[in-house]
Amino acid sequence: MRQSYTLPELFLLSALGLALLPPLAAVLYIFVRAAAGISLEFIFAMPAQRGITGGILPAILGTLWLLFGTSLVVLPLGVGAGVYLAEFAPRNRLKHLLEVALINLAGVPSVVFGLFGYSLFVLTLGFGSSLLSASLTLAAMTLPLVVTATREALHSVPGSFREASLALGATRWQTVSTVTLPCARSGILTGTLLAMSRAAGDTATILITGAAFFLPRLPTSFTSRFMALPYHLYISATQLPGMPAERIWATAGVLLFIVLIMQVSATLWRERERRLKKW
Amino acid sequence: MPYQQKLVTVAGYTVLLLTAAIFLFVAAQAWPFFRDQVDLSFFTGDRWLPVSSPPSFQIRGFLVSSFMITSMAIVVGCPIGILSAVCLAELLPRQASILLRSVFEMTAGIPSVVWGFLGLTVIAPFVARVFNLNTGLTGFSAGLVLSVMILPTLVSLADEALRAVPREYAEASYALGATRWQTIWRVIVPAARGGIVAAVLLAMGRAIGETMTVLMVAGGRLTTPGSIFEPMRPITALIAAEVTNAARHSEQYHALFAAGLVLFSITLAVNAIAAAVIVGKKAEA
Amino acid sequence: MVESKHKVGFRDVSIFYGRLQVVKHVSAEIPEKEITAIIGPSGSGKSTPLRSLNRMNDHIGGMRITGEAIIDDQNIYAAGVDVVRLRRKVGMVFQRPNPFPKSIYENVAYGPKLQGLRTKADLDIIVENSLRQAALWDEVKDRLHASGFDLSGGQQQRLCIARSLAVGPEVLLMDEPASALDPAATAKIEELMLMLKRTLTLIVVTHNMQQAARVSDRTAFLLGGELAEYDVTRKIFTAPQDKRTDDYISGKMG
Ligand SMILES: Nc1ncnc2c1ncn2[C@@H]1O[C@H](COP(=O)(O)OP(=O)(O)O)[C@@H](O)[C@H]1O
Ligand SMILES: [Mg+2]
Repeated sequence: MRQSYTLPELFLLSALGLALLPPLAAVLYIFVRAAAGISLEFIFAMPAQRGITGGILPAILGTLWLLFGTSLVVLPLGVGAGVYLAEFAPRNRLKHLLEVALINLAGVPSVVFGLFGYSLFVLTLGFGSSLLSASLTLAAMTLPLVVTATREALHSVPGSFREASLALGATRWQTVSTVTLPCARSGILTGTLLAMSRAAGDTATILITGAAFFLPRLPTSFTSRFMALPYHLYISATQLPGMPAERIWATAGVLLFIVLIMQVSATLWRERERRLKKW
Repeated sequence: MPYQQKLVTVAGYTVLLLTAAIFLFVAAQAWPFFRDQVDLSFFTGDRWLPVSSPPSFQIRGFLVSSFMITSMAIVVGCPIGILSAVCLAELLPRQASILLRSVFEMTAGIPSVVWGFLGLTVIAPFVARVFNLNTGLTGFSAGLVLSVMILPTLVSLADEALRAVPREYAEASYALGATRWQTIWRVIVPAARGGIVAAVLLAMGRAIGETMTVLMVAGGRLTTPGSIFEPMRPITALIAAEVTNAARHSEQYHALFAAGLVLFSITLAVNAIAAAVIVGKKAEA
Repeated sequence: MVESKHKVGFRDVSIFYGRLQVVKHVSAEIPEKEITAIIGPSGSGKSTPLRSLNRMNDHIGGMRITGEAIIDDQNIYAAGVDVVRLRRKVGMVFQRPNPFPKSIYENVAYGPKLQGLRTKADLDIIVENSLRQAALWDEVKDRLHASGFDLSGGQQQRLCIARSLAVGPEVLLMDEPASALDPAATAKIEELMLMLKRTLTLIVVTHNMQQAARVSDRTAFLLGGELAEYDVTRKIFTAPQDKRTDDYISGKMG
């Protein structure tokens, strides 16, 4: 069917254009500006001279390590909590409270998560300013995203699958582990990828809990400080007058690339699954 | 109950536990400050002098800055966001809407430090030129960037609220001879009002809590700004800028946690209202 | 005629959803290896007592049951009854075919696997036998690893029946099993029911009175949660004792 629009409707559509233009232009502009600074050396070499020459390998690997540590914690916890909420929580006041807590948790500013992580992980538990503290803090920050994604994915599994399984003599846990969770798998994966892309770009939390600007070596253990892309970008852009502009743009480009790769693959994967799925 | 079920139950309760823990562990570090400074001048005063002797910790300027920038982001972002949501939910063909929803979702992933960098290098100089200012690093520039950053939240939630309106409402309206334009504004948008309000509230919470952009773009002046075209420092930026430099367990350090507690309370209040709207609606359905 | 053994029974059963009483003091004995039909207008409380027989209602918040639901002389709501064992003995087929999003083979093997059966040879035998019993084997034997969703609606429903049979039930509960199917597929299901009653006790909810008349040995007529009449099918349809039954089967009632 061919759509036709009246004049006021065209005005509405122009608002949509206005909303889409800045982010799309931003992405394009960053990649164009970044191109000048990207080289094999920039990506695969150690930094030198306080980051003014050399590459950003430790920052890239630091971000990947951070994502690894974060997902190690948030995946079991978030998926578990999502399963509890969707499949087992009795419908009572407590569940209501849990859902309100979840919405609130998703709205806590990342800088507050940073303070929390500093107080709990860095100080109280004595993990110090480290990859461990930062991963745990990011896990706390992304927890509501993973829980919500899991819960929604499970909710979209038809109740008739559960009924059929229970009627065949499956326990509730067997039903979850052999029918509903496998059906929800792709939704959970997508949600987790999106959550990890948030973690990859977050700066305020890691700035407080352990990121360092210049560490010309690769992260060796979870208890040491680390470099990470977003923090590297922040310091390069604001605290180092001597930093060549194309290096800052290139850092921004690499960070944006990693984040968008995760976003795009999550989205494409979800659309593929949506097309394939038959219920 | 199989042990796996016990495990997921425990996982479920960590959500509750974590919410409480955030409050407790931030409050624990803020407590020494509140214990020593009992008057309200913390909120009403304008002197943030962490290294003078005696030091002074008053946060009015940061609160006012947060308020100004958030207001600007909402005032600019909301009309565009809500109109965009109407386009997605009511005007565009299904396939186009699905595609554009994904695009919005992806733009939500652009890190705030990247937005901050763009604000610093592109938006601020532009604003300085257009308004003939000494510096473009002002609340205005920060608010402008934030208004773009909150769009994905706003659009996706408002779009969801609009699509949740039962199809029969629209059909009834068309059956009475209403045009699409009339149906959208007199039937569908009013019916989705609650969800749209929740979307605006959650976007507001986002804007209040946004840190890196405002840290990099708002200019960083510590006193209460007289207008949005002045440099300023919202409360999130204050914390991020100073917490790593403050000596552990110094007065400044505890004051920053106190500021964090205030920020947490404000976002909690905004989100709790939104949550009440959302969960309340679910209970109705 | 030899009086056959009673397999299933309701003794003064009442069921509540919260404060709403949906089943009111129902008592009935259901004989072994017969087909018992439950008829009545929609919302009259047919599904609810049916689902109480394998305790599928347990998962509905606020559900309360009084009286005794009996299977093999045992009250299935008594303390200490193993619900999982009960459901293996009392299978269920639902109104809309609901195969899992797995292969045909995996659908049928699902129940046996839950019980710990892993040997491929054993599973193969059970899958084949169950599909044969459900009169589906010949249609799917060449594509056992295709998705259950690739089948037609009627085939899907027979797949669901095969899936239930694979667990080795003694009673099969069917809640309007053909209401989502076309007449040809419905006829196949009815034929299948007549075959199954040689080995199983079948209880079938249906809103289709011709179906009840065609396949069932006994018919229970439920109205507003009460058992208005319960008797041999032929008597229900030719000489109903209760005026309400008469009204219903002659079409004077929804
Ligand atoms: N989960 C439930 N909660 C509350 N009421 C229910 C529930 N399921 C069914 N009912 C009500 O119980 C009555 C009987 O339902 P049901 O046994 O499904 O009837 P039938 O199968 O004859 O249509 C209906 O009035 C229905 O609205
Ligand atoms: Mg029914």
